[in-house]
Amino acid sequence: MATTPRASPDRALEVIDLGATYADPPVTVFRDVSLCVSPGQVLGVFGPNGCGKTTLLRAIAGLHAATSGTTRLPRGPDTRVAFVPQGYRQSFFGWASLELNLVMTAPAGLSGYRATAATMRRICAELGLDLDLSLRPGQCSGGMLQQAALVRALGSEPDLLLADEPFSALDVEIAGSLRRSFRAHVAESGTIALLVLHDLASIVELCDRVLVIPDKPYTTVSAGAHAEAVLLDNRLLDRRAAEGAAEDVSFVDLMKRVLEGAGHG
Amino acid sequence: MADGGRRGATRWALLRRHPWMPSFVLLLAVWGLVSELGWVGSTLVATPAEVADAFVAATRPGAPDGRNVWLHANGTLGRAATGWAIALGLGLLVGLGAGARRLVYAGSEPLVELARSVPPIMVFPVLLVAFDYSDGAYVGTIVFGCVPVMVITVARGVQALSRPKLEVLRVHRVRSSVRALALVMELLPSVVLGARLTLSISLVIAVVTEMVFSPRSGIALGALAKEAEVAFDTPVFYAALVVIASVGYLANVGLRWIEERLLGKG
Repeated sequence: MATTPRASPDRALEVIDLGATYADPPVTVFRDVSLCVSPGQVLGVFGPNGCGKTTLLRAIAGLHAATSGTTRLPRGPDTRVAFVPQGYRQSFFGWASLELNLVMTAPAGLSGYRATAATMRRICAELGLDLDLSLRPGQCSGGMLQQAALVRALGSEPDLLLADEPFSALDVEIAGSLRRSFRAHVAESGTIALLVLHDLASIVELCDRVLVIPDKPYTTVSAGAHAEAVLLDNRLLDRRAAEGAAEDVSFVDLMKRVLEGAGHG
Repeated sequence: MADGGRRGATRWALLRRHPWMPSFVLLLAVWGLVSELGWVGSTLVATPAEVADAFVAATRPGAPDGRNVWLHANGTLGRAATGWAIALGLGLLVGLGAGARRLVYAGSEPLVELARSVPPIMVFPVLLVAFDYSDGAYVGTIVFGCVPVMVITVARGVQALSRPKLEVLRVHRVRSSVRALALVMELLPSVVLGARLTLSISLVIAVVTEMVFSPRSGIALGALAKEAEVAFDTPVFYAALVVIASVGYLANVGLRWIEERLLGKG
């Protein structure tokens, strides 16, 4: 079932010159990060381990205090934010069923509970997932929990989705189909999605744009219009050719540019 | 043959459901053999039949209150339960407060560990005077012995709450009532563990303090056990011992049952 976009196109996520540090020991994780993502778009965040991808997501979510810069959420303080943490397994309450875990975001009252439960089931169907929501987290595999974490996030009907490696525990077949249905859902619902991704297949298939954070700290990175070197416009790719991407010249070119941008080149 | 096989299978199924049964049967058998065959003097060990008689005699009409095991058990359990309940409440509050803030925990942990190292029986004389030899001294000693254990267990439980859980609740703006309920349920294993540990501690302290100084009412299992010991009334002494061991064991079984019902095994 198609959902109508909730956010108007001018309601974008804007991050301007954001910087973050760790206090003990004092380390600058990143600084001067700028990006802008419009409703219905997916921005991939890519870079080597330890470059600050997760901290960037946490800073936008308000879970890590930014030391400089500004984050403008699409609907200001009313923005509905959803989060899929890297430690998705630990984000579930073991004493409750998956369904109960998923509907914790429900508004007060029985009608709120029922509506949220129905939304979660609809999201499952839209994403093509066959999750048994009566199971407890301890009875689920890592892949099932990761799918449930994504359903919980999308089922809260967010304006902004922040997900840290949301497909890392899925097998190739499920990951492929989930990426396609996820991409369609984001476009239809007008959700702004920021995804930390490690694999190039996900970047190619999912992202409208990619923010590459280089290995070196203290480096200015940007996903704005003025920094083409690190802003890779994934729309250059023909998505229909993604399955044969390994032979696709534009894909190989993109890989090179991404790896060079990430300091692997 | 087939019947025999079925009976054997039923016995094994019974043992699998109640694996504690053989150890209890063995304990009774060894106790019965040692006491009935006279391997140990009757002033040291009463026979199971004599102990059963002591229980029955206590409930006979016109039996003296002084040897009524049930009456004394009532007094001791009342003090232990009061002290335990106060310690649970206090320990939970302090443990939640200390566990929620790393700095508060770091600041309070040495004090809590210091208090835990002091044998509660050492503060009992002080509390006796402070509470004018009333039951408050017994309850206070139980509270002193149980609170540090409860604080440490609960505070560790709070600190062990995984960050992703808290972060998802916060970012998704889960309602505060749902958030509180979810966290309370998450902390239940720590709370129940603390409750189980302090339950046995409270019973031990109740009996020991009563043995050291009999309460004004004289109604106390510890006092009864001490009097019976002095009077070489071995069956009554063992009756008191059996009561306190059984109460501790059954209460622990009850708490574990509650834990499994509330938290499941998933």
